[in-house]
Amino acid sequence: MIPETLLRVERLRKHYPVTKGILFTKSLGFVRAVDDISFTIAAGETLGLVGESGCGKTTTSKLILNLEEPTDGQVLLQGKPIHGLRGEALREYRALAQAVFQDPWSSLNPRMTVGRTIAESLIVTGWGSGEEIAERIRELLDQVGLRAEQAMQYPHEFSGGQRQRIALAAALASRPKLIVLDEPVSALDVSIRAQIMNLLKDIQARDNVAYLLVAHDLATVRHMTDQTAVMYLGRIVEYAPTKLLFGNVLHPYTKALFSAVLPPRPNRQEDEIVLAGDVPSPLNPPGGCRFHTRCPFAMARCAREEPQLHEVEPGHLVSCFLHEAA
Amino acid sequence: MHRVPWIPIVIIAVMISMAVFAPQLAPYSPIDQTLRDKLLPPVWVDGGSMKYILGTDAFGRDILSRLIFGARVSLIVALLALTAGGGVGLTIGIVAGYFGGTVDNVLMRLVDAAFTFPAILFALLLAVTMGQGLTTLVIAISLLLWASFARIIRGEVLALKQRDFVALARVRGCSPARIMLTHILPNVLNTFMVLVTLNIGVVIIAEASLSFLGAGVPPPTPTWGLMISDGRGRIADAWWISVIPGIAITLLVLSVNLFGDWMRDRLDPRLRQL
Amino acid sequence: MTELDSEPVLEVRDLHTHFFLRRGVVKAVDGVSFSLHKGEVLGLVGESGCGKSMTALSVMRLLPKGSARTVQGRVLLHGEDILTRSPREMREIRGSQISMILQDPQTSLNPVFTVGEQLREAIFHRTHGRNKDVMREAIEALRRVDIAAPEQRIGQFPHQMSGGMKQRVVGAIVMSGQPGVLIADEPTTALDVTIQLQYLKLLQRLQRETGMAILFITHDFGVVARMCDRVAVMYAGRIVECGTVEQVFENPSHPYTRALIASVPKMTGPIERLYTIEGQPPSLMDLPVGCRFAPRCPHAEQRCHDIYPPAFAVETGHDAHCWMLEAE
Repeated sequence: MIPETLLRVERLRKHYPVTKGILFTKSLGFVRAVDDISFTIAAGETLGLVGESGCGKTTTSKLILNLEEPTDGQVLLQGKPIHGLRGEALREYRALAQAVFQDPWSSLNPRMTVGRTIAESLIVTGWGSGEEIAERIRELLDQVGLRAEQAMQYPHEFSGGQRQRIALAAALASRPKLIVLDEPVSALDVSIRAQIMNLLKDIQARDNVAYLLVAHDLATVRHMTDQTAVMYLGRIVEYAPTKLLFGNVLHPYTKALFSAVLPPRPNRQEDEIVLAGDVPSPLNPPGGCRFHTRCPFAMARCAREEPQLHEVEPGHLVSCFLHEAA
Repeated sequence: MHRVPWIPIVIIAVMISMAVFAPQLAPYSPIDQTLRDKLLPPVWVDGGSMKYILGTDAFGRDILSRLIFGARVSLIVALLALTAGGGVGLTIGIVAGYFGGTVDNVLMRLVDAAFTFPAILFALLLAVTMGQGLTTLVIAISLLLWASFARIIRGEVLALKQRDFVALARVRGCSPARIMLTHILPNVLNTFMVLVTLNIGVVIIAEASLSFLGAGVPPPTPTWGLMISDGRGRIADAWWISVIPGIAITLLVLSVNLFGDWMRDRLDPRLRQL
Repeated sequence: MTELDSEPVLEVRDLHTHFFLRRGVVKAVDGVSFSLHKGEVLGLVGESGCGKSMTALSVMRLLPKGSARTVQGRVLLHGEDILTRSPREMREIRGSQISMILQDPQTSLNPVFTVGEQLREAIFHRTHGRNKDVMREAIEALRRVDIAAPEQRIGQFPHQMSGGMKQRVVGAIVMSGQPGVLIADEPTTALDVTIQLQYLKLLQRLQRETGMAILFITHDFGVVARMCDRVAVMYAGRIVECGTVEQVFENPSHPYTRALIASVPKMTGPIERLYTIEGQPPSLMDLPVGCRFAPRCPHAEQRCHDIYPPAFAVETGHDAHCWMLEAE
């Protein structure tokens, strides 16, 4: 059975104009933060979006959360475009798509009790009576492993891990179908990360909620996701079911990312791929394949033409001339 | 962590009761002149008498009574001007900071204009068109205040807007108005309180200058500011005329500041626990 | 590479650093001892608040002014206690004999000076050479940390550089003093993974070229495995286990070390539910009398709660503070 598609991202672009001057602005070009990406997430499934800073993964999550308007392309949730919604339709969409962000110290309003934060999406939509909402807060706190009486406390009384639990409870309140998890564990201590990752998996197993997991840590992605998309400079360079991808890494950039994973066991550098230089500026990125300036396997053609994502084995998409379909 | 600042609270309470119960408290009329008792020093200085505890001014008016009645005008002006000017500044700062873009540009150019416009000239124009009095004074001082409130609050909001909880509030479906009221406003109230306490001094001095220029409350109604300017020419031989209301202003501003510090710590849930 | 028989270049003995706050005494470092030998990389690993950074700052004598104080212990640099040195002598020692790289290159560099000015200042401080020589040396120093076109880069300001490049400039400044001991406090935590690998390789190369010893502070076991010869695991202000990287990773003997390694998701093998450590580390103001990990330890017995376990040898050069090792 093919699971029903929950989220569809179609040829999404987000370009930020860069200008100089205040009164007489001069355009310096565009930061192509997200440049023509497409993917889908099925109900109850997790997609991992991997890449380094500046690759556009956070912009993508903001576009999906309707915090930014796309320059081009569209995002469909349950078949309906999410941008340009107003009034009741917008509220319905907001209830379906929620988020947990990276920094637990910035995610909670210091002036709002934990209970109010958790109930906010319910209060806004007029979900129920005061007593019903209080009951729901108790239920949510219990689900994320906190005590009911902690609803009256303020965020400063909680540790980083507990704050991420509160943020998760707030995201779950409206019974969403999709939660965007933007680096949800990377700011936490190692022993706390495992707790939150287990909690996320438990909730998914019970509620059948889909996750978009934005992360840089491949081991976390492997542990958490069904599908993986690797981004570089605003583009998806490799996209496949996680099992397939981790078993058969194809794109040179993905290979470099894998090579940079340092496993927690003694390892003397085997055949590491160490990339030279830094990620180029997404302001006017390199022509041709965007990775060719750092690619150890770059050919003359890579500087001229831009490779397109194409299927090299069932479900495994790569944009690289090294793996062109025969 | 901080003890309740009893001394400032007592001082503020005394000043407020002075303002409220002025007719009952004052030993003399603040405006009746007794020329034969003019320029008497306070009781603890040679030549002073128990009759006029804080001395008299050049027209033989009792300084104590003028101080008590002056508290009325000064405190009412401060309260009204800070509420009006501060409130407008707070609102504009939050709106400009939160929406950004064109809204921010337009509002901030208005703020710039307010800063460059000579407030005193404006107050004088107001006095001419509306006549002297409390309303004129409050409007003039509010116009002087709002821009600095707006600018500082806006800066605070810009920083606050970057925090994830603001984006998450949008994700949870909060309208801009709701975000500004429940997420932004409570987090800038500290700054607002600090600005209010810092500006009480400014307001009282402004009231003094405007009253002196004839744009404020018309004499002989006493205000602290007017009292200071009355004694200006006699600072060498009758220092008490200016110095005593000066001390009152200093005490009030200092007390409000200390009280404001304590309030800010109380309001901040992070500090309350320590 | 490790010369365990040689004299240690840095030896820390029974170090105690406490914060004196109105609410009580925070025992951030509470009896830490280790030694660092010439040409060796020692990893100091633990979670936030375990005292690893405070240990580093105590050694550098750069504790935050006011509340923090090293109340006990000795820090021997080439056999001499630097805790008794005057602040002036300490300034001489820092930079020339012992240096430090911090997590955030943004705060290590001054934004109003060019990287060249900052680098040249460090070089001039040591050599008092002529302008031309200092300049040549500065360019050379940038080249050594793999900065392309150093002649152009030297005139740039920190904000014109990427995070990885800034951290390499910090490395160049630190290395210009030719310190025998380098303390690196989470130097790659703020960097992207591919840039982290670049940086670790660079540090490793510099370490081999100069023979300096590195105390590498991190929370990441992967970085320890890649970089270090030996590793010390810290928990709640104390070192609970210490040994060579091979020993500690292949035979983790303290339950905390075992739990930490087990709770990290792996790149190979079946995907299972992650192992978690229940509860939270104890408050450093109110530490248990016995083993500090006992309240969270699945193997804790009564004695663990009552008496702090001494170091038991697991094998040569590998010991751990756990009563379970006593019988063996």
